[in-house]
Amino acid sequence: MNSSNVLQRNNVHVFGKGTTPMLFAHGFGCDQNMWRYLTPAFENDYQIILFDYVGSGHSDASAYNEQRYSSLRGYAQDVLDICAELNLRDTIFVGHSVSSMIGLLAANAEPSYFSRLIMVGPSPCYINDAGYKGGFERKDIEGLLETMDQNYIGWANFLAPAIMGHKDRPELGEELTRSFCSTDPKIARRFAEATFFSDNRRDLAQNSVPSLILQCSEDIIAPSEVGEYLAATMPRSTLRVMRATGHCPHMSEPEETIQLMKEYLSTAA
Amino acid sequence: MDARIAKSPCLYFVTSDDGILLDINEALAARLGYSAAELVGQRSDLLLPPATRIFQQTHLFPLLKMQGFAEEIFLHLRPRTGDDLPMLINAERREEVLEIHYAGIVVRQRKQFEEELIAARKAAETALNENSALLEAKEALRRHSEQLDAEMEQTSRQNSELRQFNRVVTHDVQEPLRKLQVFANMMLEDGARAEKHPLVEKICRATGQLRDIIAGLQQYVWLNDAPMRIEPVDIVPMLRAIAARSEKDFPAVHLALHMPEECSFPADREQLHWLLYELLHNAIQFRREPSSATVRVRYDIVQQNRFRNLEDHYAYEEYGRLRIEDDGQGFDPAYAGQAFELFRRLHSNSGRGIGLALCRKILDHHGGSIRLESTPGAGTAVILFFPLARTQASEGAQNTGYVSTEAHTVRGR
Repeated sequence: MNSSNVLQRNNVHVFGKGTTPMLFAHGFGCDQNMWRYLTPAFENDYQIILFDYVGSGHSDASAYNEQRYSSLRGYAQDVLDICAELNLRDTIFVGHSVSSMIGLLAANAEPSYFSRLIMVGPSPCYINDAGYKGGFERKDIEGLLETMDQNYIGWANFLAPAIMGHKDRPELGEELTRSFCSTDPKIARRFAEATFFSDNRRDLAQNSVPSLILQCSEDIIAPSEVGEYLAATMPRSTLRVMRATGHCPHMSEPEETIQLMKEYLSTAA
Repeated sequence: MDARIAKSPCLYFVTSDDGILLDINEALAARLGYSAAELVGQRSDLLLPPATRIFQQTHLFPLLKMQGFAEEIFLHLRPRTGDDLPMLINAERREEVLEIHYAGIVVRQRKQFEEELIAARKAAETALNENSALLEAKEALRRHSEQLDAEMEQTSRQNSELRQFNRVVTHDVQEPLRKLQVFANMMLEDGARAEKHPLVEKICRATGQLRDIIAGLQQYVWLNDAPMRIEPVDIVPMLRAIAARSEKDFPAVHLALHMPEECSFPADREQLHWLLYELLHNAIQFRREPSSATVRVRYDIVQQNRFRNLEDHYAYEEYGRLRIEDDGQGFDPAYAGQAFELFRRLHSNSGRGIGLALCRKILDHHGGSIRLESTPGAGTAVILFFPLARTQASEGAQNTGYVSTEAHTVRGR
């Protein structure tokens, strides 16, 4: 891909007064707007980089490639492409939910791009397995896919069969795009599959970049056992349990999130 | 709550921002098999099946937080007993009191009808996709066959030229060279001559170098025909043996070799041995300290795209990543790409200039890749990627060619 296209493809925004790069990666079901409660606290001291994964927010959905994005490693390639394009080194990577593992895969591939990984509500595997509690059964995830289908049925293009590549599909109306931060329900569904059927437990031990695990209280998507599993498995990791409940502390409790991030960043690696 | 709303057919409930039920009308509580008083103060998760909880956390909450409302959201509520209730709801978040108000209706029939629509759409899409995928694949196959045919033609011609060239270099050039060396030696050893011409010694040295270069070329070409036998190889004992041999090559140098206790991955044992020998040899030859060199070996597994040339093709597979790092002289990273060219030397005191070209060829044969990172004055890291999932069916596999033990006889360093 032509290099200047990466910034357009991923709707990359760069701002802030600092020089140390801080790259924010949104989770499944959202786009870069979700970071708006955190970035003001860091923009004086860091170079802030926001982006949307291909198929989310205002990215270029025509760049979507089914093979590539059937694996979280394909999403990690978006992160690596952006780092390469902006020539980022020693970046502080902040990832919400599934982006924690996407960041981990990116850091395993190119450790020199990253200095810290901050994982907000991470989980290496959502589905229960022998001796491992991820929180969900396979049928729960299938139920989620069904719920998504039911919610997207009102979308203009949802019922029309799509032709592969869908490059010639007209842009959806602004309102639909806004409502679920996704430009395309089929991409959203595949993102859900890539996310909730992923198993990155084997990748944890290889992480060489110091990482912060922000574990919420009563998070049904990433329960506390998962946070403890991560802390025990991933070298150089720090676990902080938050007062914030739910799965989106950066939106529900931005002050606490900012405070824990700053405390972590002030400690030596 | 107003008595009319409590009994209204509209199903109504209020939660705090963090999901505690603050109010619920009797009509909804009754459908769920509770009384309103029982539910107030509980977490709303109690009423949500797992799939709806995920949807609520990943979609609904972000939407409410960012735009303050959400309309026509489909979700399920879970009654105390019996089947989940399919609901269509509107929700609004009141920023000033941090409350979320939900109002909805049960949509059993509509849901059934929609499910049928979705199923029909999926069937149509699958059929269409399969059809267009098939047509596309057919077209791509035709294109690729034509391309492949043209490339095979070219490759086979180049291969035969290369073999002729190789024969000339390795055999026809050898003989006059050998004679030259013999005559020069005779002139040196001829005690009858009073003074020896100083240029004769230079001729001897130059012919010796030429022989080395030819031996390297032979080795390089031999690799093309070398049979591949992929099997799990533990490189730790191999590295120890190579280190012991290097100590004989460089008796004045102490080599500190740091490596994991065990490190095994599929490769061709013999070629891997050459490869590691070249790399360790380089690390010692281009050391920074006169009497010591440190080499660190690390191994891990990463996912990489198998397609390295075709655009828009992705298949992420596992590769073993072997990193061999020295503390030697290093070189300007701008030359990292050229380092793999035949007879390209990065150091003025280099040897034959064939080592890294050989290494790359070995990685090519394995379906892997090689990369250099270096900082002048600080050391060089060689990063090797070996595919783990596939056994590499290189064209070398069906070659018979030379007997493998000849490899060492042509080394001629």
